[in-house]
Amino acid sequence: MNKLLFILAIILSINSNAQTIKLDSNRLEAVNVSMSIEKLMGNKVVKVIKDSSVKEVDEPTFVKIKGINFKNGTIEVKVLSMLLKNAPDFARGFIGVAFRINDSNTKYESIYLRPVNARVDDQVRRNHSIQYYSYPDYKFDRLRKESPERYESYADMEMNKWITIRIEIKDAQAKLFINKNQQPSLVVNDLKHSANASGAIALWVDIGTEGYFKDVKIINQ
Amino acid sequence: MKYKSINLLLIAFGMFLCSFAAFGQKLRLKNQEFELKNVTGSIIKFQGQKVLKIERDLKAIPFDVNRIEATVDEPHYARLVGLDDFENGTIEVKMYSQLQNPAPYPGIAGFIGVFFRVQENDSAFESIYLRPKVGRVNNQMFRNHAVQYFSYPHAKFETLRKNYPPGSYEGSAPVALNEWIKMRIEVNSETAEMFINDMKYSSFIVDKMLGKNKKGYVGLYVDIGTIGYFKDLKVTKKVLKVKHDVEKVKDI
Repeated sequence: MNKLLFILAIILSINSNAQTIKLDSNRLEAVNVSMSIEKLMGNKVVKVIKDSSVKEVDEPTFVKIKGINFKNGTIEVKVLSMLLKNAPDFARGFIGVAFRINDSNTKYESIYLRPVNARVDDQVRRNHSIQYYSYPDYKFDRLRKESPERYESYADMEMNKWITIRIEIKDAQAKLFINKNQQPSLVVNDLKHSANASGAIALWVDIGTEGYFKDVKIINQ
Repeated sequence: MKYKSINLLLIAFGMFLCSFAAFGQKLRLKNQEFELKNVTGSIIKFQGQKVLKIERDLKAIPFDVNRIEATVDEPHYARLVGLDDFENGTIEVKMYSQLQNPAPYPGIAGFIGVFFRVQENDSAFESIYLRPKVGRVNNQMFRNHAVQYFSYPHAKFETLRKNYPPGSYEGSAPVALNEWIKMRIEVNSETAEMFINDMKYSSFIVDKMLGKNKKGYVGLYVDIGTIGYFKDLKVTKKVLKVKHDVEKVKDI
């Protein structure tokens, strides 16, 4: 039995397809954002800023990675959020990842951070440091109203610093890990587009954020 | 004559019993003395070290499943003797929470934590405690209730949940049952910040505590269903730090 499990584990590990994504502009597609490949602190990074023409929040404002059909597995990326000079006073450094995006960018899941909130004096805002939403029907305000505390949580993080995001996705469940934390900081058990959805992966920002991304790794299972 | 002396003895014994009930049993752990208030307890050797073990005494303060809020978060705790004027400063303690088996009530969560600014007669105090059972469960809402602040007697957990936006006085922390958890609370005027396991930044903050009592005793708390173990309590009084006002934007 043990032997069988061992063989199975090997087969699985061969099948799972770990991929470090090269951040070339021909591999990336800007959707409602401006995008550039830059050097920041000696690293090649993708800089992303939301188009001001998009007024709504929690919209498909992201850099899509071409050629990936992702359902289950792990997405890992390092993000760094700065506030733009003209950021509105409610800007929180919104930065994150969208996944299982359909071809027309009209359906996807997303988890993002509000790094500005993590160390403020207001516990309610701290508890809103991490957000799950599902486009188009379950944006943050609806989820917060209908199911408070279910799709948001807290983790320590900072603006202007690299933050490692790792999202483990399996069927209807997504777990978010921040930096080297052993325990997930957000657990979502009912991804709204169901357990079977699959699609592309993207680097997401919202209003007021000058977002930087590097070291994208994807393990497709 | 003999009858009279027995009588006196009985009276003396009665007085002794009364004083026992009024002042509670005292236990010594290293150089600290603890007075048990509506908890049973002992000093035992646990994982190689001397610790204070306490459990809520359900005979002293009965629990009623139909009146949960009224019959939990009451003054059942071990009071640190000799420090009656803690106002601002640091409270640090290592705690370990086990669940009683069988459970006295299905909703138990390993409730364990700290009381501070406790009035002499226990009529008012502040508290931050943990629910280690939900610290790592898969239900995010339960996870977000792993840490609780309350102010006795007017702002207990249910009152806070009803009257304030969700998450105002609760938060998450990567805690679990059956392992040592280091809790540090920094108290400064109306603010209390809690640090878990030497994390550099507080994982929980109460910006404006709700109690009127500004100074008092420090205590170690357990509630229904918890076998609580405590060691290495350190209380450091500090002078008030003046905070700078920061502009706040709400709602997001």
